[in-house]
Amino acid sequence: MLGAMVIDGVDVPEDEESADHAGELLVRIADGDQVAFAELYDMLSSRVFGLIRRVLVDPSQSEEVLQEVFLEIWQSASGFAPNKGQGRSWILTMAHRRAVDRVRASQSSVDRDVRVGIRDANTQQEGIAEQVELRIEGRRVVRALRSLPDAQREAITLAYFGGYSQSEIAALLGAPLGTIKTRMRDGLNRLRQEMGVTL
Amino acid sequence: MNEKDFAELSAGHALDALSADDEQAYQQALAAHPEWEELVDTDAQVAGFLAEGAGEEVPPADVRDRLLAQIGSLPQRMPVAAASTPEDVVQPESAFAPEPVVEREPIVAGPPTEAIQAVQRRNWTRGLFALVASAALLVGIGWGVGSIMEQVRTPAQVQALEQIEAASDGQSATGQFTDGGEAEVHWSPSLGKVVLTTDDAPKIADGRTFELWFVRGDEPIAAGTFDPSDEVTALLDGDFKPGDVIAITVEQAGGSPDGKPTTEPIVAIPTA
Repeated sequence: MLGAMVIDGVDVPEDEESADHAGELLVRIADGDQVAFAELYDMLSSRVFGLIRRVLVDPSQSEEVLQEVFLEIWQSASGFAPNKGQGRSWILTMAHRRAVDRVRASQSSVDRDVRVGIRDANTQQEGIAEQVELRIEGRRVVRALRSLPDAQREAITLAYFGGYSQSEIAALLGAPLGTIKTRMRDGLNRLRQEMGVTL
Repeated sequence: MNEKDFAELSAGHALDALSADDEQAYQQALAAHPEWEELVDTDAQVAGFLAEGAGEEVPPADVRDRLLAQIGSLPQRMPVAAASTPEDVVQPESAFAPEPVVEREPIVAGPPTEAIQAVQRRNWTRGLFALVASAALLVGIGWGVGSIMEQVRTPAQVQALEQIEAASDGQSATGQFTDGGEAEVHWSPSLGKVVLTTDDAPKIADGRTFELWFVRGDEPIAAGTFDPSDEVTALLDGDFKPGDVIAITVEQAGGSPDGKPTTEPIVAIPTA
């Protein structure tokens, strides 16, 4: 459904099996191949660290989560199913989940919000979404997000890059939870269409 | 659950934004409807696209060294089929740190990562429930936008004070310290919370502390201590019953050792 995925800066057609470098390395790692592990780390650690930092902000906590993620990759590489998707997204999905787990621990979220300036007494909710948006770098992603209606972009940005739960976002924006859920669903649908255009 | 409801859960799941309850509902629904997997995969791809928006950042170099040192001694999880033969642990080739000299304690020593993660998830769930519960409460009393953020950042006693002031049954009463200065008690029966604030509280000797009491009938019930300062905001520990008298005594550091006041109250304020 996607025309192509961007793999390590190179546009590679999605259906080309050999394009999944990370997936191949994961298969080798599952066999205990430490060289493959080092290769995978060198290939994706900056990408994984960037994602964790975007969500968690705090450098030392991000470093801990990065380590946690790669240890989990080592331990559970056998759980990666090459026929089910790209190794790269398997890893990024895991990294995002671990970062969010960490940010939900309340002290982490306090630290995070202090760092990004969300906790200034006068900051309004638009400020929060904007602050979080400032942390998005990828041009294609920014462009795709901009094409969404504001309310959908806000919900998706706060969730994915801000690490906020749906309930938190509902409270943050003073909107019913059901509305936030619908915005996320509609937003993802539109984003999927946009991806076809922007990729 | 119909497909539309599931579609909303799937979106929230892909963004890691579901509450613990919703996550569970999502997992159950997916187990019951494997045909919905396709949507899940699609949403995961969109999330993967978003991940590319995070940009890259080179991590500190020592993380790599630590990881390579650690995996040498870290058993891998076997594929499910082989799980019944635990002795068949893969011995990795010794390309890196074949003999883990333990000069730096491996982070994964002790409980396996899985167990740690389970604990973390439990903690997370608890925290989340607390947050959700407070959020519902805040909505109930008509707090404005941004209150969740306020709430996370604000100390418990200040939060409690704000909640009491916003509660429909929030009340307050003031009393004078015997040596001048003023104490004000704020309470809400529905919240079951009492906060005491002071203005120009009396000076007391070093090594002494103020102790708070719920006085219920004749019985004083210890409600925590606070140290002297000009302006205090203290949340009383324990269960509040409307009609309690809130009292302060001066006690030794750490509070009265036997849980009974050893001195006369310097202020007492009834809550009814």
